[in-house]
Amino acid sequence: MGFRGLSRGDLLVLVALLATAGTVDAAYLTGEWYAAAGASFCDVGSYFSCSRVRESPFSAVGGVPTALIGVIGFGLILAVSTSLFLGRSRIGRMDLNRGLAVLAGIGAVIGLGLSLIEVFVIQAVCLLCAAGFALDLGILGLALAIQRQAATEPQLGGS
Amino acid sequence: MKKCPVCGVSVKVENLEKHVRNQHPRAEIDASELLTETERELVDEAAVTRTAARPSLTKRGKLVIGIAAILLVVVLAVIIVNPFRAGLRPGQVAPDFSVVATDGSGVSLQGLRGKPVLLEFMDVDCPHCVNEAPVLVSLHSSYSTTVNFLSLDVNFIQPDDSVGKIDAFARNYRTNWTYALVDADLVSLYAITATPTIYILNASGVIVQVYTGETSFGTLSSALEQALRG
Repeated sequence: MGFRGLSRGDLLVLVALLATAGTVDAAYLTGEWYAAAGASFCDVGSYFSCSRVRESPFSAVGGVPTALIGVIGFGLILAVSTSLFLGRSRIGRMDLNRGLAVLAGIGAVIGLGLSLIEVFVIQAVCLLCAAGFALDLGILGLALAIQRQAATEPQLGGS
Repeated sequence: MKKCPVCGVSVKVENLEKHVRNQHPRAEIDASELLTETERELVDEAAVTRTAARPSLTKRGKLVIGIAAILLVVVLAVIIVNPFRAGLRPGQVAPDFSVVATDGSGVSLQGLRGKPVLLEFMDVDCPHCVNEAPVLVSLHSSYSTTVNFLSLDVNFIQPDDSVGKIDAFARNYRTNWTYALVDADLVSLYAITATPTIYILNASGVIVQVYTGETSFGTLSSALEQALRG
């Protein structure tokens, strides 16, 4: 991966930046999902249509919008990357470097699944959902690079 | 870990002073005597080490972060706000078109000039168009002599609409004006993404207002009055 010349701090800030963007993106989609309950029109949009995706049964799990799960996921990644940047490498027994990579991996898998559902089942693509998936992949790449760096550098301080 | 001299609970050395201060505010204990000199040095060293463990940013990294931040803001803003959204807006002349009405007659938008037009893009299978029908019926009863009404079925929701299905809709909801079944080209020309979408045109064919979704009688009536004034 092309992260030469970037320090661990740079990578962590980039993760936090992408996670913040992901949180904003998912929060906007969550708001739109709840607002759509009062929609007064039928969507007849094109292939790129967030409202068609939103109106599908795959936009919620047990009444909870999947976008809200995205808010929580991106929020956790933001919290972990911030903790790492502040020098904390563990919480209890949990290694935060590995935790970051695991969270990013879970996000990427969920994002991939939802993207495939959009393309092949709903047959409509929401650009904001696609942006969220792209952010997932970016975070995953950065998290793996951070973990590789952590594995080759001595641990300093933290608790 | 060290035991609190007041309650006997084991507390981390670096938290002992804070523990005594918060949990035993009335205990007459000199906080400076809680830790030995060696313990105090270790606590201070650990604090310095924790701070030193914070990763630093490189010059290149700051540049990359700055560029990434700007790109993210711009991309998200464009997707959410979508300033390049296609669609006709008030003040523009509505594009002309010709369709075949359900009664077999030809209708062109240009042919309706001379009076304002209420142009509705709808779908007989759209429940919101069904809800809107009584509103339009009320409007028609008030404005039928001064305004032309034209409803175009975009045939999207269940793409099996036909002249018979549209006639049945008109009979059910008593919408006694001209209907036509249209194709994707006209839908694309007017950038229709939702039904009902209602265009209010003045007598010269200029768009006065555009409404998406169910719209109240009052709102549409005001727009028609505005169109009638020119």
